[in-house]
Amino acid sequence: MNKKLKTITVSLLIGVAGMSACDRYLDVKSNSALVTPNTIESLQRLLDASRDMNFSVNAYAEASADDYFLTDDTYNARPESNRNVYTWRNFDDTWNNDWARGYLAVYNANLALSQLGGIERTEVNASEWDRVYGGAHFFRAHQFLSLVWTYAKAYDPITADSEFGIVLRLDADPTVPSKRASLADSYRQIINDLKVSIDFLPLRSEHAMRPSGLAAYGMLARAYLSMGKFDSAYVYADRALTSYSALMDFNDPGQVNLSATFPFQRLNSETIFYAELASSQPTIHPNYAHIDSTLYRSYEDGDLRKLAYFSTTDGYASFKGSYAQGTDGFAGLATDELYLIRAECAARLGRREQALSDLNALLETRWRNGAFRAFTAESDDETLSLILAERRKELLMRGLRWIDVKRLNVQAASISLKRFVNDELIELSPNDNRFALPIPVDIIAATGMPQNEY
Amino acid sequence: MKLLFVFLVCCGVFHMEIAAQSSNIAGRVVDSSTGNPIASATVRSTTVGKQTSADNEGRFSLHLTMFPDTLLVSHVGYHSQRVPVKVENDRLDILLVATEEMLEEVVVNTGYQMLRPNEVTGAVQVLSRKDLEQQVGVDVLQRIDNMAVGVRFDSKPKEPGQKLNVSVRGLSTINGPLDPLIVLDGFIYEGDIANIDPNSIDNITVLKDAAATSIWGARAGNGVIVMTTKRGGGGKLAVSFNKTTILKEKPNLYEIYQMPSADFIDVEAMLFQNGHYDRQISRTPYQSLTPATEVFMRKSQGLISAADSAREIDRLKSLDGRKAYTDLFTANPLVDQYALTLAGGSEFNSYSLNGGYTFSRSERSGHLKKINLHLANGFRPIDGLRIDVNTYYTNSRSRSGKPGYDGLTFQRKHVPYLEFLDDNGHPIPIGLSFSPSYMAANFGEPYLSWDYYPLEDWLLSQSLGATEEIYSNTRVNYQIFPFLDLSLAGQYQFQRVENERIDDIESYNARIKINQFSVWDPTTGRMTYNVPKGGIRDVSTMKTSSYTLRGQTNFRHRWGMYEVSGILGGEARQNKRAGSGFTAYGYDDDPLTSIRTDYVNSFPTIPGNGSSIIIGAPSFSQNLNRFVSLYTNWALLFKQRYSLSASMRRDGANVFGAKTNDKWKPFWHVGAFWDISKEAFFRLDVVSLLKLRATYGYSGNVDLTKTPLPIGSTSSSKYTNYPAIAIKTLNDPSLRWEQVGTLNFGLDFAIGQSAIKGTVDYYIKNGRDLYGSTTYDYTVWGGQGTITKNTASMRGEGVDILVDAKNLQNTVHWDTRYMVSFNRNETVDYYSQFNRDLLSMLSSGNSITPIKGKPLHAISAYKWAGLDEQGNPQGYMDGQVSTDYSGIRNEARDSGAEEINMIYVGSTKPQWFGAIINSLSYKAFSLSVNISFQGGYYFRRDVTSYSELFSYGTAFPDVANRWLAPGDEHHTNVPSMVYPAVTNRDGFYKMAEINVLKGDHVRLEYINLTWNPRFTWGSRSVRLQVYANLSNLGVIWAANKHGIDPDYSGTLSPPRAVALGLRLSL
Repeated sequence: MNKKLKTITVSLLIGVAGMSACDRYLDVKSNSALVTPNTIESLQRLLDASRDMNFSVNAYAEASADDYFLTDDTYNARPESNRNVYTWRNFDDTWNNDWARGYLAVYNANLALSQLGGIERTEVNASEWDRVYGGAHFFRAHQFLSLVWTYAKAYDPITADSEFGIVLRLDADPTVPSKRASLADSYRQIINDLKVSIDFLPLRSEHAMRPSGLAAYGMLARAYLSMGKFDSAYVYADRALTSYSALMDFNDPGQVNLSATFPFQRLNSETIFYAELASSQPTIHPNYAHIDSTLYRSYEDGDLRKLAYFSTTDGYASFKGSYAQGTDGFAGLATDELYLIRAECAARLGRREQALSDLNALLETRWRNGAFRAFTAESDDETLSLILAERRKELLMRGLRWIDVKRLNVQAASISLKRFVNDELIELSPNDNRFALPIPVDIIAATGMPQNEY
Repeated sequence: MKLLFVFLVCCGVFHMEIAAQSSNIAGRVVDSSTGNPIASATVRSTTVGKQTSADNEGRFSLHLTMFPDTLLVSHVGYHSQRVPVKVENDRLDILLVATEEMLEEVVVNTGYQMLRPNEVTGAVQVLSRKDLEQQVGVDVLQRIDNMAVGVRFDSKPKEPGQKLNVSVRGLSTINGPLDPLIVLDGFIYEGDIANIDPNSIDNITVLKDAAATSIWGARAGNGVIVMTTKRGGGGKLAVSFNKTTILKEKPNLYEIYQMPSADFIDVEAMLFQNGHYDRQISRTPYQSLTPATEVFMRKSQGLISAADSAREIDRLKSLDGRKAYTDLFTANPLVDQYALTLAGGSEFNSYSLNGGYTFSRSERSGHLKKINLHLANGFRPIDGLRIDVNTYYTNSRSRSGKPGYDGLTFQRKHVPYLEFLDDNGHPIPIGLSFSPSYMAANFGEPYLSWDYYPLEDWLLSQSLGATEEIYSNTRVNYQIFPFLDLSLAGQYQFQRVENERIDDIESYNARIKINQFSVWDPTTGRMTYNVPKGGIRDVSTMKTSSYTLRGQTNFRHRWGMYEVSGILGGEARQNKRAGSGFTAYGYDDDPLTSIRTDYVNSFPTIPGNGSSIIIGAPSFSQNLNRFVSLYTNWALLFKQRYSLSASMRRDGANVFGAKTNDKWKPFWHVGAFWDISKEAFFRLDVVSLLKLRATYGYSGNVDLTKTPLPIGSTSSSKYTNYPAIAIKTLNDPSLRWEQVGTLNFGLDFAIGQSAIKGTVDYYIKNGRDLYGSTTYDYTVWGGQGTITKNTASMRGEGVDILVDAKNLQNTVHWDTRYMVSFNRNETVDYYSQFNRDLLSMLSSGNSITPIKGKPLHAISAYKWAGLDEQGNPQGYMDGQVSTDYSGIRNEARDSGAEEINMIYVGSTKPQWFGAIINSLSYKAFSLSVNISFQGGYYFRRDVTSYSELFSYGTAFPDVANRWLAPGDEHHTNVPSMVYPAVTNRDGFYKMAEINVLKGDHVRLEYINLTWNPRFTWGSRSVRLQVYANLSNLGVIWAANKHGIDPDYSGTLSPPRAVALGLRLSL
């Protein structure tokens, strides 16, 4: 009998010892592919997720802009949500949308920053730490900028403090409520983030998909240009171009293969930062979108862009000039845009010669060898309108037209947008409230934040 | 590994202990006529009052102190017997004689312990082998369909993540796991249910309430189905053989409406004239057009004459693809099943060996072959020690067959005039995705052919499946004291599923893939094959392994009028799944070769000038779930008529990133019964049993994919190929386990000598802390539109009634079993951002739509105001008749749960369901007929949406009655056909109240005829059973007047089947 009791005691003891080992037994990962990003390396991976970070530029603005039009057949065949964006009608936008895509990138950046706060910067990890810190600020600013261009009105220094901007999420904590900041604060945050990123990013990055100091300069130039701060825009465009100013020669088939279906190589020498428009708006896909006929006709015959940018298989021009080498819309930053920013700012600041020299430097590479004659202008105004016309011709379908129309209208350019749909003319007059697109209704419902007037 | 070591050490310890055991009486109780063991027979010493009960194999041992003694051996359904014991260490074989026509009482197997029916306070149903033999088929679970009360099989599509489509007492969660827990021989079964050979299952116990399920803890919230396999009975070698052949009708494609070819082509002509295809023809001319549209296009381009075009169109109008398809592609489905069982043993052991073979051929010539082996061994090397070893092996192989009718489309558009052979009997190709004429003209030689031949291609592109599983369990049971025994048990399972698709170089798939990635250089005249020229082999493998180790103490003792039984144990369980997959190109099986392929860079693709990477780089996945549990369950029985039961279980799981406190969760139950019929004051002789039961308890659900940390998954990033992390789940630190509280009241009764007996159970289920998907401000993250929180709660209630009546007991026996279940549930709490309550129920109602106060599966509908003079459907807006469909929708959206311009209709899952089984037997013949019914629910019938008709070619019978001319609105509700299609108009009509029908119906499930003669062959008694079973016999009565089978609305119903079989036992 004693023996039996001993046996029971022993097995009970084994059992108790076993139970205390349980917590260790349960301390294994349930899915091997899952990770909680908490090392510098994993935070870098968060920023390297190109689908979330680089291919998520808000496409609603491009779909609302007038570089393209739809035939009635195409228009009628699109779902209502696409049709409403196309015709600037209010619509009940709900998840999934480019608001969500944009803020997902912002979340990743914020998560990287908050997790990085727990990792000490040491001599050993300094360059990796800086790359994450600077990169996160850059990506956040990059998304904020495309969001503010889409969901807020154009920046006007007089009203910027009273106009609504966007939600500035600066923390990964989901319990912090979302509020709309003023337009001035929104731009202030963007400028600030970009300036911080310059101090931490290397001037050139390993890959154009990763942010660099050069990209931050360029993005600052973009931001300032859209604010109408031409002197600052000039400074940053100039800094970028001083460091890197390569342009592709459209005459060189090694660089631009005019006979190819998509003439430009992805990650070509002009690309400083690579990003794509989100694919939420099929209306801007070259299979549907026809290029505005007046715009197409404005390319002269010696202008190789006419061949490089367009295919005209069925009588309409469709765009094939994406730097994404395909039907995806390129929305990154390239040197051609920086030349045009510097040229525009120079013209506005009264430096006509510098403006024309930048413009001609760019266009010389765009025209057929021998056919190019340098552009001249008699006045600052003429210079500016020449540059603006070339800006539109060079940078179409890159997600820039919408903000250009908005900001130019602040400068009293009086550009109104027109659509002809099923024999009806729809017009968006300058400075119309509808230039700030409606915020998704489910966001309004969840947060109670003010909606744009529509 | 460590645990295994402990396990082995323990075995060793007990082995040494055995020698000390000496003064026990041991024996075995068996049925006098069949020789089958009588599990849980009571063996009681009449002198000292000690008692025990026999185990599963009828074995018992009893520690006696005084000799001689007399044992009283009794069991329900048998005449009690007194057995004198004179000597110590006697061995007894006790034969009990069955009381005439008493049903054999089956023990209740909870998986952790065997309970006698009089120890059960909870709601359980045991299905005997005889019940399971009522139906035939390859799926073991299907055999309890319409046999188990409260268990419902659903023919509707499964929810995501649901594997079984079976529910026990309805739902108890909203977003958690929905499958009941499957237990095989005492252990959770993680393999594929199709691996289990129905012929090897002896009985199935369904555990329904908290008393029964709380012992299984997490994952038991949806009920537990416990399967017990056949065991050897010991004694002489017994051989039994079973063969079943099931033959089914060909599927009847005419069940599903198809627009007549002539009408369809008229619609296509209209679309063509309106420019519907213009963009496709000019922008993407490589995409295929339907044959009729192709003719219209060629005519408009002047490639064929008007006369030729008209002749071809007339020819197409005369075709019916269903007939051609049925003739050329389908065959009668066939299933052949064989099973052979050898069982026997000696005094010290028993064994049983089952072998099964299944062959099945689908209606489209797909094949499945399955081999099952099951070896059960029980040893009793010395008194008090019992060792059971069970091993199962499954090997099944499948091969895909011919293409389905639904898949033969032109750019996803169906046409009713498909043809497969030309006038000379040669196969003709169809333009699945690519236009044959365009591709031939622009991408002809040296590209490979772009043609798809449905009649031949399936031989060149085959999907092969292979499943292999080993499942083994071992149980060592040692009786330390007469009142206490210890058991150690372990289970191990390994399953490997390999799915392959092999495309021959000649196959459509391989040719298209090669072509798409080929680059033709016109200057050099050379073709670069980025996808190597050759076959394609796509392999995906999933390995599942699981183990459980369990130690358990079983206690049973009786003090005077008190009897206590209980268990205390602990277990550790791991379930691991590892998957891998890749695609090899340039594949050839003789000689076995494949060609290296670049999966990294992207290549240009044709047609359409895209670019893409070549998919198929190796990928791997691994999931590992671990659980640790401590459990105990006790029952106290007083005077055989009062009982109290209680259980407690604590579960831990490796929820990723959870704090220790969140990893552990307690579950419990308390229960009681009172057998009134055993009271002295109870004098109603006609009532032989009246027992009241009540239980209350908590069980739970855990979804291991839900975690409180921001969880990323790794991948590689496009264009850079840098490793990347994408956040898939937003961190929610407050996530907890789900809890389901169940209250059950039961009544067991018998009238007369079991002429009528039955059980009635009423239950209430309260689900709390349920995972609720709630909308949120996705500005904070954006990755998902909703996130999961423990926000929801639900309530379910129901009644299960099971009555067995013996109507006639003469030369003709007539028994009837009535099964009625009522179940309804509603969402009690669910956070809904937009209050779009009724609007969100505008669906087919097949997925859970949690709306406060409404059933989990329910539908709503727009109020209907008929058609206007132009044939437009009309609803209501601002109280007025309106055709502003988006306005109607907006008003419906804004009115939340209020029924303003839409109405709430009701549940889409039957609230009443059940079956009536009538069995007649005369001499050796018996006949049983099962009629089932479902009621108290609605379904939405399919109606034509013109936008779907124009895009996909799908239409429904209502289209034939559509509005054509003014005045038609007085006698039809089907809107006119308009171009371009107005999606909102289609949607409004589809969701209108006129298209919601009552689902109530009665179905003839099966008819079973058996000839069951007994004869002797030499000294052996031989049992022969020859049976025929007719199943899927269709609807007898339905509430809807459209002739729609509500279970199979919009899909083909399962074809009628006849099964013939025989069982032979020696």
